[in-house]
Amino acid sequence: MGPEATGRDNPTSRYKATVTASQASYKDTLNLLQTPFAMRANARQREPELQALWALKNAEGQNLYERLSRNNCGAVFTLHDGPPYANGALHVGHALNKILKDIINKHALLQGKKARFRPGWDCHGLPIELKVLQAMGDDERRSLTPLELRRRARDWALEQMDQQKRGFQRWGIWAEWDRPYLTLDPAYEAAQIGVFGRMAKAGHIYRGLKPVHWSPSSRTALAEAELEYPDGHTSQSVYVAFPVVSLPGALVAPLRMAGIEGVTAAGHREQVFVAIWTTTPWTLPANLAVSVNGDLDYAFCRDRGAAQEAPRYLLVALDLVERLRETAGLDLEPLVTLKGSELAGIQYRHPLLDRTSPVLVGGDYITVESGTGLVHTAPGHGVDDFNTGRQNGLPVLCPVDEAGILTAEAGPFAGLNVLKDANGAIITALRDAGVLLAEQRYEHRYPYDWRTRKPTIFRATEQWFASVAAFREQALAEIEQVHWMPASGRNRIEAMVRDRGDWCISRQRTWGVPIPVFYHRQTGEMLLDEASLSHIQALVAEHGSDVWWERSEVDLLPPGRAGEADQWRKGTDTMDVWFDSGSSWAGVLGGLVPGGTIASTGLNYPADLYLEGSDQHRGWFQSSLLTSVAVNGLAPFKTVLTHGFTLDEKGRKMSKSLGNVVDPAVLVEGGKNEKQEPAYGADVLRLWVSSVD
Amino acid sequence: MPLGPGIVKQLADVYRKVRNTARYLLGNLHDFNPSTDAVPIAELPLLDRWMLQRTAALIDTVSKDFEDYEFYRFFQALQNFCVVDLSNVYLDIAKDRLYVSAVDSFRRRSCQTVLHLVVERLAGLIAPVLCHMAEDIWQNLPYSVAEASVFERGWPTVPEDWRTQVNTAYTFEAHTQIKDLLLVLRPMVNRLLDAGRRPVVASPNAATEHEPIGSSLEAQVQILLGAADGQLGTQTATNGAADGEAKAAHSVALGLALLETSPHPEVDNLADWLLVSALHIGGETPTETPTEVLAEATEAGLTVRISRAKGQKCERCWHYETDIGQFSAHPSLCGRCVAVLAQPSNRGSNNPDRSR
Repeated sequence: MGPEATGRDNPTSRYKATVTASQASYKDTLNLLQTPFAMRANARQREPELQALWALKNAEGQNLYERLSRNNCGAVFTLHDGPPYANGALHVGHALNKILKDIINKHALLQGKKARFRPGWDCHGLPIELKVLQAMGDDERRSLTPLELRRRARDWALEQMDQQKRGFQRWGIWAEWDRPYLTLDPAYEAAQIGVFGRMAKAGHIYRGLKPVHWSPSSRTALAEAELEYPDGHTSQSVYVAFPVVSLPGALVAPLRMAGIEGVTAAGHREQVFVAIWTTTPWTLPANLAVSVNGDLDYAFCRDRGAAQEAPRYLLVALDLVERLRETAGLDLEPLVTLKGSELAGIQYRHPLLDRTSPVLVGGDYITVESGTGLVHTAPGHGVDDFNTGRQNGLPVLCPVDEAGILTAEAGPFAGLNVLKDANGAIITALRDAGVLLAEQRYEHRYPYDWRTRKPTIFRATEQWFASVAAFREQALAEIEQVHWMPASGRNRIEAMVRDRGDWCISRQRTWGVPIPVFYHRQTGEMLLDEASLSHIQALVAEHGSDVWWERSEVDLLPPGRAGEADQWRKGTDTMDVWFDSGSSWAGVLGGLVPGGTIASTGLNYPADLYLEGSDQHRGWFQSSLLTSVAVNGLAPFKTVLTHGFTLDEKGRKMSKSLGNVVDPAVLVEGGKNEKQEPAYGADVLRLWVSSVD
Repeated sequence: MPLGPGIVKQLADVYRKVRNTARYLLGNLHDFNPSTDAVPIAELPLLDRWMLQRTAALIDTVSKDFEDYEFYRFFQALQNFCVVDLSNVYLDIAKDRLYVSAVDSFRRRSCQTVLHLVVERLAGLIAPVLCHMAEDIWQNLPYSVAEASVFERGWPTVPEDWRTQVNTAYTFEAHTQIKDLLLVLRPMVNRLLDAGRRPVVASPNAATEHEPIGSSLEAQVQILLGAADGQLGTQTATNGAADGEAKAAHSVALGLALLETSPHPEVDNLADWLLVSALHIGGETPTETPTEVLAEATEAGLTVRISRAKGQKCERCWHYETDIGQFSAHPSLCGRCVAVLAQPSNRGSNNPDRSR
């Protein structure tokens, strides 16, 4: 507080308060304070005046930021902006992020560094596509062409970008506001296709059938980063007995020793079963195997609760016998214990479909944490299932269409919705077949579509993948070289990169950068070669990615193949938006050019600093790292700094329903009621950013 | 990263403190021209050297905080600097120098020299965060500067002669002793002055009623230095060091001895630093009877007593002085103020403050 405000021994205020006629002349002999620098900030008026001062251009047409960032004597310093999504009003999370960056850049400029800052926006993707679609009537939507959808999405993104830009400028952020980078800019898109092409040429890109997170509500594959795991998801889990139809020879004798004469009793009645547990009964029509852990102990148990004249035997992991006894209310008595590896070769009958399948040895993912220790395996609906199936030569069966409806391959269940009525119908059928051991509501983490807030499923589809295996070690080596602040960031991203599977980069949407591939109409062969890729990259650089939808194959194929245009069909997939933003080291920092392009960009590649929220270890930090390592063998950043997330004063998330949202626009410019919500100005918002740890 | 209405109010308070501090610095420079009025660093009084050393320390820590991206430390350091070092201490003491002393006196110009050096660097240090306020400060500097914007000035650095230096008047030891006078003794006296503002005083003898004091200038202070009571000097300074109990007394004794050596007693005197009208070291209670002691405290070998100052209040500077009434032209003023007014338009090279 200024000395005047202390109220103690203050000559100025005291003289004002006590002055009399005779004293007035002495007061005038004091050298009192004089300044036009007001006690009240009057920020709403004064801050824009000061910003106007910074915006004044010199003879070379440069404003203050441009003069300093270009003419400073020191080194180039590049804080590379992670692009916010060009949708929605600015919130305090944006303020925290952009103001932190601006504090660092202004400090660098004061230190004499050439700190250019190109702000970016992430412009493609489903949320904007949905915004556009939701703003239309049904008729209009039905007649909508992809190009018209893209035009509207582009308009929307640019309008949102412009609004956010004005907000950032009001906060006093210095940047290349006249030339931001947008992921929809033709030059950026071309660089992104360049990154894809370089990865394809290096053999890192492949197409395959694979279970992916699939959102029936938006009818698209989703990346990990597009999932959320809300609390309180409950599944209808079931314990099911699959009837064994044959045993491998080595098992016959031990079972007979235990009193089990064979898989059938008198009258061919089935009496031996493998017990499985699943939280997704709708995947049972896709069951192609039951997997066990080769190292675990399993017990054939006599179900003494069954009528004496009709004995029943269940196979279950030894450690889970007690749990199954309680859950299913069965009086189980272990008769003989065997290693999981001894069980391979058992054949069982699908209880609902006309199919016989094997018991297989799976991996360490099979535990005695829950269930029965025997895992229902549907290669089309789970990653572990898919891997086990591939090792054992199983096909990938996926009897679910893109809307989540069971197909004819699901037999009597065709037409049912896997997230609605399929579970009930299948459970009823299991009960009718006499193989339902127990039904139990089960609360667990379950992935939801982060946009539609609806549950997702695993579903095998034809997708494009970036294979991480080939450059995983290099990525881990690069992680070691980067300075992570705080240091815990290193462990986070290291674990994620070490354990992650291949990156599904394709989306079945329209608002994005096309995967630049042609399929042969007869053979299905894919065209993804040097000539084709560089031809499309050049077209996109010149016309933007709309060209992929504007032109037919004859005008998209490289000149050498124009004659065979009728044999080729252009692909319809677009790229994951994480591939968009993950290519910014190429699209903005010029990282595709050997030796860098610092002369033209004024920016460093690798960048000196990436600074985002700590959730970006699995988002932008990782996608940027993977693409940059895949193409150049280099991390795109030297230092990665993370910040936390904005909460209210009680540590709760901000939400409309809690009424605890702080709107940065109101904080800066004031609210409807000036008394309750005065205009504090951008500096108070900036001071908040500097005050948080 | 919490944020809500309560936090915003607190932040707005901190913002106002920084702004008011800047306003005070700017407002007292309206008649200052650094090229003609500034005092060389080496000639500045000890109090001013202390302030520059504190500013140097702030620049050092904030520079490191920015290098380490630990901005919350900057926030805390800035707040502490503006509230404690500047407002509570240096600027509080500076008011008499700036308002009362003659316009062109050394006592005032030396203070303005510090204010101008501090305000320019304060603007630079806050510029990354409080960019608008920093620029507003720069645009309101009342003298001309080479750089049109605070951002063209560059990140503040510490001139070497601001720091404590061996073989000069301002050593590390001197800085520590001044710090103890300002940040240990001064708050202790302020607590006693607050007690003196209450009508009932608990003295060691009895609880007695007094007419409470208002301004601290209505008071005088007596300081007793523990075992060496009344014998201030090198003996106390050297012997007292062995006695941990007497640490504060020892440090104050050293500080007082240091002030004795200052070539600028018109600035470097403890009565001014404590904002009281008179100061007595050791000796008998400077009051007629012990009951006139308004407040007293003993901490770590150091005893401090507050009593009502002698003399009358000067209508101009509010100090209580015994020479009031001796000057026929200004019967209600003290000799110091009369001398200030004797200068043509309160301005002149013959500055009575220098020989005070």
